[in-house]
Amino acid sequence: MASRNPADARAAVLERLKAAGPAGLAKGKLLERLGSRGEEALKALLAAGGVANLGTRTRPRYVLPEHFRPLERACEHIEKKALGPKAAAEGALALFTREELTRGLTGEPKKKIPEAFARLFSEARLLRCKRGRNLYLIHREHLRHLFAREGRTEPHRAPAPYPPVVCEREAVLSAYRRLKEKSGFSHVEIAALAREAGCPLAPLKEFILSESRAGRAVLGLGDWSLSTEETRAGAVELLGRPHLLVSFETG
Amino acid sequence: MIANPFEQAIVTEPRRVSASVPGLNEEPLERLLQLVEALCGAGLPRDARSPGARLLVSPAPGYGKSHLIGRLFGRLEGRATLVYLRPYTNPASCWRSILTKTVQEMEFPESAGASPLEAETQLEAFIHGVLVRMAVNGLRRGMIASRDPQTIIAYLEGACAAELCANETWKSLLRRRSGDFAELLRRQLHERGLHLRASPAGWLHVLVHFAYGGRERPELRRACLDWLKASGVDDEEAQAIGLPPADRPPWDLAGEQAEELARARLADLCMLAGFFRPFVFCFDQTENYAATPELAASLGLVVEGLTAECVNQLTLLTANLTPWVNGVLPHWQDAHKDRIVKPYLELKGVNRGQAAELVRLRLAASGAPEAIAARLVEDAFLERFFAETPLLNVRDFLRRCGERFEELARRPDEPRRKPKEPAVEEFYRARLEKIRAQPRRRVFNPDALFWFVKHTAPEGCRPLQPRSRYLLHGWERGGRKVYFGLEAGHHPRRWQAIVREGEALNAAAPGCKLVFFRTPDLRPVPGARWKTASAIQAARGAFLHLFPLDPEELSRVYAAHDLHLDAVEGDIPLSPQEATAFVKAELRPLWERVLDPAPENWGAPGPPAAAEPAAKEPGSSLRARLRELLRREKFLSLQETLERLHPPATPEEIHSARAAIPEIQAYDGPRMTVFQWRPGGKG
Repeated sequence: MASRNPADARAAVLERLKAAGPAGLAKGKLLERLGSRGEEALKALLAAGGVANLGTRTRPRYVLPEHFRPLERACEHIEKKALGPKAAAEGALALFTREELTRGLTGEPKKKIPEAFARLFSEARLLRCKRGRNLYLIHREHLRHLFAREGRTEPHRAPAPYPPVVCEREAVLSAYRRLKEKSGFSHVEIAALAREAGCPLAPLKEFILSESRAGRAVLGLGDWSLSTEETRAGAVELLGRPHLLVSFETG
Repeated sequence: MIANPFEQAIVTEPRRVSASVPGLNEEPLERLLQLVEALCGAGLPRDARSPGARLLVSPAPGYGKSHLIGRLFGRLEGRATLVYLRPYTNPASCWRSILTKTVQEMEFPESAGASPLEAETQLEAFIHGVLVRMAVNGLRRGMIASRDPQTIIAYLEGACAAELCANETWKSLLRRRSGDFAELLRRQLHERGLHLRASPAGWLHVLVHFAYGGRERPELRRACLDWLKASGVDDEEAQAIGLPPADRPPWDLAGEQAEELARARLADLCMLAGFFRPFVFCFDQTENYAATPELAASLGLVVEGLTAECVNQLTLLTANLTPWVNGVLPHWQDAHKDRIVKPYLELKGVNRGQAAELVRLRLAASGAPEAIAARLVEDAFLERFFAETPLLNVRDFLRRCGERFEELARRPDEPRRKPKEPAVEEFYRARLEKIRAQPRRRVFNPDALFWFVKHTAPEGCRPLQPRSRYLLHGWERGGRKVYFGLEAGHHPRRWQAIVREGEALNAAAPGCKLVFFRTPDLRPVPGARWKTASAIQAARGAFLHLFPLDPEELSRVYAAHDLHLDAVEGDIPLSPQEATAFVKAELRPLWERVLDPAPENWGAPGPPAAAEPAAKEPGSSLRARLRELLRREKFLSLQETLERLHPPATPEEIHSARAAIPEIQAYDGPRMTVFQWRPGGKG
């Protein structure tokens, strides 16, 4: 039965996404039996940043904001392919092209492919091999296995979680400019900025505080009572009060 | 007593803002002034069209939205007709609400300190401006034949409104040649491709009668106001004014037709403003529109309507970022969102230099001891904040200054007290005092009354939704039904229809009653010459409860509404639910009277009113005594003022008298109201 109450529909959408976790849900499954109220609730949540779309406009995949990590998704996808059973079949190391490792990526993670490769190269998780004009890629775990002479057909371990990263100033500022351009407002939600910049919250908060002390960022209180848990997670404490918004001097 | 100069941190009446810090939010202010200036081009009548509405946005409450509006209003005095719009509450009557508030605002002088009985009102200034410039334009362009046009032009351009009011030749000319002037008005507008929705003759008769003809018969002057508000006008009065039959609104307009008429009237007013000054419509406290999706969507429609259909006006919306983005905008259509011009105007916090200046200004005005003042502006105090951030929320900074001031003003032997948050009663009391002090607020406000009816009824009432063009809401308690209507108009046939509807309802459910609130500014019902008077009086003894709200009761209801609006806006540390719970308890005695089923307790119907009630002006002797007292004492609380005035006066009389003395500034703090003598100060 379609939900009559917009608040109920909103709660149902959030509940389903919470249950779905990082995998998220397609639109049909998410709005099943919620009717037009569900559509409206989803639209409002998307506009407010309470829900994010990891997929494309035509094939959306909705997740809660804490699972909206397109860069990490792209990295995981590439690593999974590079470590898959094909990689070590028949006792030999397989070399991959970029295209092979990114096949199947869609939506927001697809947009992050260049950044994902940059990150995997910089962290030496993926190694580049060159023959003629062709570039081939190999995961470092395979080499380690080779040298350790471990069982060649043994299932491979999942990639280690990413170590804490420091927010890069230019990445944060360019993400801020994009959000500002989109909304038209100088102040943006800190939680939304973290998502846009692909930066974890803890280092981003440190960065914002240091910019504030340097006079280059201004924190805004926002409205705690009207904000979602995801937005509140981005709060930066300043002079004893939690601030949900930030604006930067971007010149 | 050392009054804390930082206690007043919220601007609740934009026309009464305290001095501002140079440079603070100067950019949006200057931009708005430029936008208004752009509407004042040469060539009359103007048909200046704004590219869209403007949004003034604040990252959170307390950055000075209302203060900026106050500064804007101050700078625009004499340059624009200013309309400050608190949120409407009923989306089905939004245009009527905006038009009513526009005309009500115009019935008062621009300056909050001026008395409407002494100073020229905005409406009088508007009418004189339109008539004179239309005539001057006609003379200049040869549309009016004259042997010596230059002399007449020089006279008209130099004469003030009072002078023209006393000029019998001018008045008689307007009356005798009204047809020619109406044609002149039509032609001048037509040349610009503009067409009034009502006839030029209708407009001319109403404007001329209000400005020059109504003083002998005040009821006709009020009928003109009713017409301006798109309310029905009695046929006899319409005849006396000279309104053509086609311009007389039908008495039985349904809601949508009434909305359409109000929208058309507003568009006409803006068109006529092309001869005079542009309108500035300022929608403040827009968080309140997020109450329901319908209300939020209706604001989008209003913005769309104003920008598309009304020339010579600037629409300004103020908003706090999060409620605007999360609560209002999601309910707007894309076409309505596009009516707001980018870039938005954004408010900023105070920087270190401005903060120091703000502290100095507040201390200088309060006469605080030197020692305290010096320690407050010392570097270490400001350093605590500005080492962490370049800009601070103004209200937050003032709150911290207030705490610091309390600490410094404490005697050494006095125990340290934990700063106490004002209780809900104190917030309510402060709003009550403020409304008592503002005659312009104590008028029929359909939005506050609709909110009162719909949201503050006592527990145990079941809501009813009547299907009626006269009744808006109803409650059932103990098996008895009570219906409510809000009628500001004065058409006998409409009131007769209300009586008939009441009879039908009473026949279907014996014991039910109809309640219509009457405020002091409304005309008495039934009118003196109404043929239906006896039937209406008979209904008053059976089921029609015309509930008179005296100024004090009105102030209580409106203060309750203000408390609710401020709670929604985040101006006070109360949730809207807490505010409503308090208000329900506070207004319970009033509700018991409203719901009283016994007609004998509703006030015995007397004979029909013979004359219109005259507005009461505070006695000049009280004003003189109050002026002298404050001049001498400089700083007094309301309580101290009450104690020192002889012969004694009521708080309301003091507020009314104070409103007419521009040198006295009132600060409505949460704990007390304080008056300050500010020679050369402006209200």
